[in-house]
Amino acid sequence: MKEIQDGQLAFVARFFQAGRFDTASAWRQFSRAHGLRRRGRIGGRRYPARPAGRPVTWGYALALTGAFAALALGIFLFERSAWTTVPQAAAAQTIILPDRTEATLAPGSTLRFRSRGFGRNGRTVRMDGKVYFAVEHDADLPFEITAAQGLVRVLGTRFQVETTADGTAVDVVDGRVLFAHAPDGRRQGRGHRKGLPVREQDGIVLTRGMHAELAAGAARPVLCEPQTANPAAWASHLFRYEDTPLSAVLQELSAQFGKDLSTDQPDRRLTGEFEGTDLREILGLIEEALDLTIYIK
Amino acid sequence: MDNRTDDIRTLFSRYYRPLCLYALHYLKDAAASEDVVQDSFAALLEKPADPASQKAYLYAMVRNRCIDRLRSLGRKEAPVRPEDLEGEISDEQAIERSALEARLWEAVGKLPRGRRELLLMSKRDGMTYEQIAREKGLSVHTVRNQISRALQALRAEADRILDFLLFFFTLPAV
Repeated sequence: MKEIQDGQLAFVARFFQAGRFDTASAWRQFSRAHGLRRRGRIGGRRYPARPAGRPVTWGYALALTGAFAALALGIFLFERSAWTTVPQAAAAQTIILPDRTEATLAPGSTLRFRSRGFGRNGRTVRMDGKVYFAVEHDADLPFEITAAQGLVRVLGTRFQVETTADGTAVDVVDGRVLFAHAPDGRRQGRGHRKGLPVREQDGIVLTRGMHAELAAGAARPVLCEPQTANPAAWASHLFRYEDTPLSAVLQELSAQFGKDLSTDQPDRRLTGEFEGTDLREILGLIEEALDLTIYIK
Repeated sequence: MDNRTDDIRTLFSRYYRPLCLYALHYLKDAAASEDVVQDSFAALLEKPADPASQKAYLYAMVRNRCIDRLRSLGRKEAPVRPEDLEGEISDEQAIERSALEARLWEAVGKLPRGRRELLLMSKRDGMTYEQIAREKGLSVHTVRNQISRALQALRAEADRILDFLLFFFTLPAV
């Protein structure tokens, strides 16, 4: 009885569709349809659209400024209590956010997330350092990250965000990620205000394997070549190569596993996908695929 | 109203996915199954049931709505029975299986996408490892390896629920 019943797995596999039978999003749909939500946002739009191209008038701006000044202290106090900070650690650590998104923090990195209603009212985090995310898919609730001046928005995917002295870099393992400059208002901790939607045309959309950087002071991120083929492999344990010179592959694996790898045929090219934390297993697959020998020192 | 919301929410988080799998045995259509389950919870919201029989009540509502839907689609011949891939099964079997299948569904959803695709090609499409390897441009070894990791993850999930059930059922006997 311990083995999975083949018939049951076959049945599940036959009808499986990603994102279907998702209890969390079904509950959102249900509670919205029946008015069960306790406060705010009943059937509301999360990102109210402003008519395109309409200029903000001075009067409007002044009124807003006044309102903000009056609320400044309250907001400040509220914000301070509304963020949960993940303590820094000396080794890489993986935490699970309330929406079941996994975040793996490189040593010395910080991550803060909205503690109130996270996963229900919004999914907003702020970070510094290097963090790998495997975001739980939720079509209704984009996951937003503010990192230095960069803003990253996704629905569900795997990717890494890194802030350095030079700016912010994003590496996508899977899925679709919007990467843009954060609106100025967000820099001081008002990341959750809903009135300032960042649109796709404000930034760039990254997909599988793409790498982009937002230099400090630049207005938009730019697409560029990553330094190594799999910058997020330290956390994703996923190594993907496409016609990559074996010398570059071995260099990356050497750095990743702290070994010195070499071969007689460094000019051969490798295409393939390897996942796992067992170096010997990965090397075995490469050796088999290319029919050569790799030496470990 | 708030207590009522909490009750429904608890039932929802416990039974939503199992009920969907149960409905799937009747309807063989994931979207339609979700509609039926949502409708049934809506009916429960309108007309609360005795807390002791809520689960049975939910399953009964889902069953009735599935049968209604199949009849309205022109399946006149009675009686309507749930099915798995092999053929008809009893309604009790469908209820019994739905809990484990719900866990398997969730576990399949949590697999890394590439691995999940290979698993589905094998289990859903019935392709051999050689055929999958050829289509995906991977080595047979990689395919076998990835699928066995996927199965390991599913087995771990299945074990978790079986252990839970065993614990649950042996407890009163101790």
